[in-house]
Order: sequence, then structure tokens, then C-alpha cells
Amino acid sequence: MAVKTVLPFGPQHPVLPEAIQLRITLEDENIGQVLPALGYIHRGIEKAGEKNDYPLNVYLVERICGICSATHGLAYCMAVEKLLGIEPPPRANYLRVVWTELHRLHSHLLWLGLLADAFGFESLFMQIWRIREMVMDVLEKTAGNRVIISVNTLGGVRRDMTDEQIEETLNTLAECERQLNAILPVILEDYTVKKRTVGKGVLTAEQALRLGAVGPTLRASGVAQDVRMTGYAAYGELNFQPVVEQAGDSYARAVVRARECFQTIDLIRQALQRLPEGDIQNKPRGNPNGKAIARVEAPRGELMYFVVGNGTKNLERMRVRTPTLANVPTLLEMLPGAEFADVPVITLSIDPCISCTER
Amino acid sequence: MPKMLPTVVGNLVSKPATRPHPYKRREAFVRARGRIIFDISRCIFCGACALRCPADAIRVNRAERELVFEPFRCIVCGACVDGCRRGCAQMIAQYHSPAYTKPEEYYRAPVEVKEEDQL
Amino acid sequence: MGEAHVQHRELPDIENVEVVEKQHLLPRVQQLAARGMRFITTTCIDNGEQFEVYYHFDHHLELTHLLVTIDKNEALPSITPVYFSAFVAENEMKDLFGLRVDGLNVDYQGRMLVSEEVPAPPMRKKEASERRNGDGS
Repeated sequence: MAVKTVLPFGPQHPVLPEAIQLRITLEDENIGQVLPALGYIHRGIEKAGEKNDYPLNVYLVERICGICSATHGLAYCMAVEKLLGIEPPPRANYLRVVWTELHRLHSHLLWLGLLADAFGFESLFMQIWRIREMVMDVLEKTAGNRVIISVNTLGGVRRDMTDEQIEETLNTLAECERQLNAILPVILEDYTVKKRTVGKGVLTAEQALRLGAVGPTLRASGVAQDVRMTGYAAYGELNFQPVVEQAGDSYARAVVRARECFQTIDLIRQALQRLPEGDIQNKPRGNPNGKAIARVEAPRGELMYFVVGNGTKNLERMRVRTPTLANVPTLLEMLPGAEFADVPVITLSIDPCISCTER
Repeated sequence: MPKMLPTVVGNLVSKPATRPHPYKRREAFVRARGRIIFDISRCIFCGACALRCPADAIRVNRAERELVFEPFRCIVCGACVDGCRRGCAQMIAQYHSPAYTKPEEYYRAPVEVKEEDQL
Repeated sequence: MGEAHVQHRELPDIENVEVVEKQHLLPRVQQLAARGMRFITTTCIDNGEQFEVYYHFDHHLELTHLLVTIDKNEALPSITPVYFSAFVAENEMKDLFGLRVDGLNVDYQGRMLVSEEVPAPPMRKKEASERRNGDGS
């Protein structure tokens, strides 16, 4: 007769990078049912967004999450620009693309390092983060900060890039690409790593669409959906295709993120080579009124902002739908049937970012 | 194992990747965000910086011609620097060093800068 | 001060919004699910007297929305029988607005995000009489 135990996994656990609690019902090492318990990081950001003036909300919204902070700022600026009826100039659109893609690169490198750490492979974790340090130095030299880069503003961007900064960025990216090519086979072609990720946490394409998964979690199951194909900012003029894998297990999700690193470096090169001349900001005027929706591809998936203005300088409602909010229910279907030792790896493979989830 | 070997050997023979901070400090990059300082000789006490601050770190008293700035509430966003029309609020690249108490900085016209410790 | 240059433009609004009644909500959502729509999220807006609840869906990167308007003490049917992952968004509406949702598959009883010490749902607008009495929040 199997013995049933209910085990709380999290919110503090050596392998779990985020503060989420999963109540797992175990029957002798096999998982029966999983219930998530959220609420450890709820800060009430949607309520604070109604009390601030609308230009100050840009600084509030960037601090929802550290790893995808530039994309939150970009989505808020795009939504409020629709309410005010202004559009950023072309040079600002290209610079927004460059900084968003640099942010995506640092986020994927962070995740690859955490994956290596989840297996206990700490030296590889440190090596991948050494490559990430080069990207952080580029961000600090061009935008001013390492983590919360704060370059988006209503109507454009706040800083410009000089020609020698562009050249320095391109040289750093070439070095990153060379080092990534040298270090990625260690994690993606290793026998032990494959034994722990291939076939674990399988999500079919039909399940992924029905549960509402987004981002690399969806693309690793064979569905080619990427919000960048709608052509916001300057993406409509760049040349790229979504990165898709067919297997749907944790290994496929790791491969999708690794291939997206190379796609990102290529996108930044295209954008920097086509950078047009001009100003970097169109000043906003007036108060926001009406309703607007903006969607952006954050490193973890689709990020949606729905803002409602009422003609005063405060917004009426600011609704944020973050990608991990859509990916957490997939855990409830991936985990039952797996073994308990696979839970950290499967939870990490959807790339949880709980501070985004419970703003 | 053979795939990681070139990296391991390379790490053994090259110099360390870290720097012995605080004995050797790195110079701040030119456009990095460090801290905010005020050049009070140019200030007209209009209060535009205080209106734009998202962290409420600046208080401007026009009647007594005084500006109070709390550097440990500041998030170094630069909104005050963008909004100041006289070039009084400036951002420098070196960050504020850590401290045991949270001082407030009082700037009074004409030109004197006085720092007083307040808990 | 430049008023001559201000054009009278229409208020920006979102497209593809369909207004449904509360009793037609579940059949309409089932029709959308049969067409392969992906569920994004729900949004609740408190406009003083009533709640306006939006349901956002996506099909190959095109958005569709449903809008239900109900009174503050009515209950909405849950769409979790059709879309299993909607329980996160609907529990959040229960916690923050006090909106009653019936038939949830995973129900946190209003305590998913908000702890027991919080007396009232935080994001509801205060009634007009309370606002006049000086409670400025």
C-alpha cells in the first residue's frame, strides 16, 4: 500500500531560485497532485500605479522585476504613448530594440547558469556568469546601470549611443559569441545532463495552448508564436524567425533558450548597423485618456499591459499580465507522474520569476 | 569531461578574474549612475526637481531658500537632472559610499553647503 | 495657449470588444475555446458603481475581448471548466476586489495574495460619501 505524504517544496529551498511554495502530494517518490501557494512577494504595484502621476509610473514599473525590467518600462511607455497619441522617432525605436535585446541576453545567460547550478555543476555556473559580466559591463557603459537600466521614457529614450560605444558593443558581442560557442557544448551535449532533462516534464503542443503557456515554454513544444512578429518598436524591419523545438521536455526548453542567445546577438548587430539619425524623444503633452493595450516579448514570454486613463494626471487602472503568471499552471500538469528528484529541474525549466507574478 | 578541459586549463594559467576590492577599486565608467549633487549657486528654488522625484527625496523651501536632499532615499533615476532648467542638479559617476547612519544634506543660499547628521 | 492647434481626436479604445451578459458568458467562452483561442487574463475595473470585467483572448497574435458588467454584490460564473489556467486570475480578482466567483476548481477563499490582517479588499474604490469625509485614499 502506498503511503501518501504532503510535502511543502519552498518557499525556501536550496535549489529553488524563487519564493514560491508547491504543496506536493507524494506516494512513495511519485508525485500525485500539486498545489501552488503564491503571495510571498505581493507588493500592491497595481494600486500604487493608480496613486502616482503617470510619468512617475515608469520608475515604479521598472522595479517590478530585475531581470526583465527594461521590457516592463517599454510596455508601459508603449501603452501610455497610445493614450497620448504620440510616437517615438525612428532612432529611439532602434535604440529600444538594442537595449531590450541586451536585456534578453543577460536574462538567458542567467538562466543557463542556474540550470547548471541545479545539477550541482557550480564551475559551469560561474563560467557562464563570467560571460554575462561582459554584457553587464556593456549595459553599464551605455545605459548607466547594470540591472535596472531605466532608459525608456514617454516618447522615446533618455540617452543616446555614441559611435565608439557602438563599436565597443559590437566587439564585446563578438567575444561573447566566441566564448558561448566554446562553453555551451559542455551543458547541452553532456550524458548526465541529458539523463536528467530529456523526457522530463513533457508538455504537448495541444496542452500548452490550452493552458495558455507563453514564451520559450510554448515554443519548445512546437508552436511558433513570438510576440515580436507583430512588429512593435523596430522589429518590423529586422529579419528573424521564432526559435522552435519539437520535443516539449526540459531539454528542449534549454535548447530554445541557448539558440535564442545567438538569435539575440544577431538581432543587435542588425539593429546597430541600421541605426538611423535623428532625435531620441518626442515630448509628451496633455493627460492620458481612453484605453490601450500593449504587448511585448519579455525574456520569459508575452507581457501585456492594459491601461485606462480618465483625463487627469493619475491613471484609472493599470493592469499587468506577466508571463510567469501564465506558465505556473503548466506545472500542475507537468509534475504529476514525475519523481520527486525531478521537481527542481522541471520548475526551473519554465524560468519562474515570482516577483513579476505577484506584483 | 573533455569538453570542459580547455576552459579548466585556460583558467589555471591565466590571471584571476576578480579584483582585490577594497584594496584596488575599479574606476567608475564615464556615464554610470552614481549619485546626485546640487550646485546651489545656480538654484532658483522653483521646486521642479521635488515634483519629479519618484522617491520623495528632495524638499524645497522657497521662502527660506533651502533645499533638503536625503541621499539614502534617492534611487538615482535622474528625473531631477532632466527636469532642472538651470543645471543645478547633477549626476556624478562615483556612487555614495555606505554609512552607519542616514544623513540628510542641507543646501542653503548663497553658496555654503552644510552637512548635518540626523538619525 | 495653443488651443487652436488641438485637434478633436477620438479617445483611443481597444478593438474587438464584445459585450456579453452574465448568463451567456460560459457558452460564449466555450465557443471561443472550440476555435482554439488562447486565454490571456481577466481585468476588473471598478468604476464606482459597478465592476467591469474584461476577458482577453488571443488567436495567432490577434486579440479578442469579452466585457461583462455586474453589480458589486453579484456573483460571476468561473470559466475554469473550460480554461483550467484561469484560476490564478480569478482568485486574484476575488482577493483584491472582493468579487464573488462561483465554481472555481482551485479556490483560495480570498487569501491567495492578501493575508488575514487586511480588513477590506484593497483595490475597491471607496464610496463617494467616504471620500468626501476626508479619507483621501
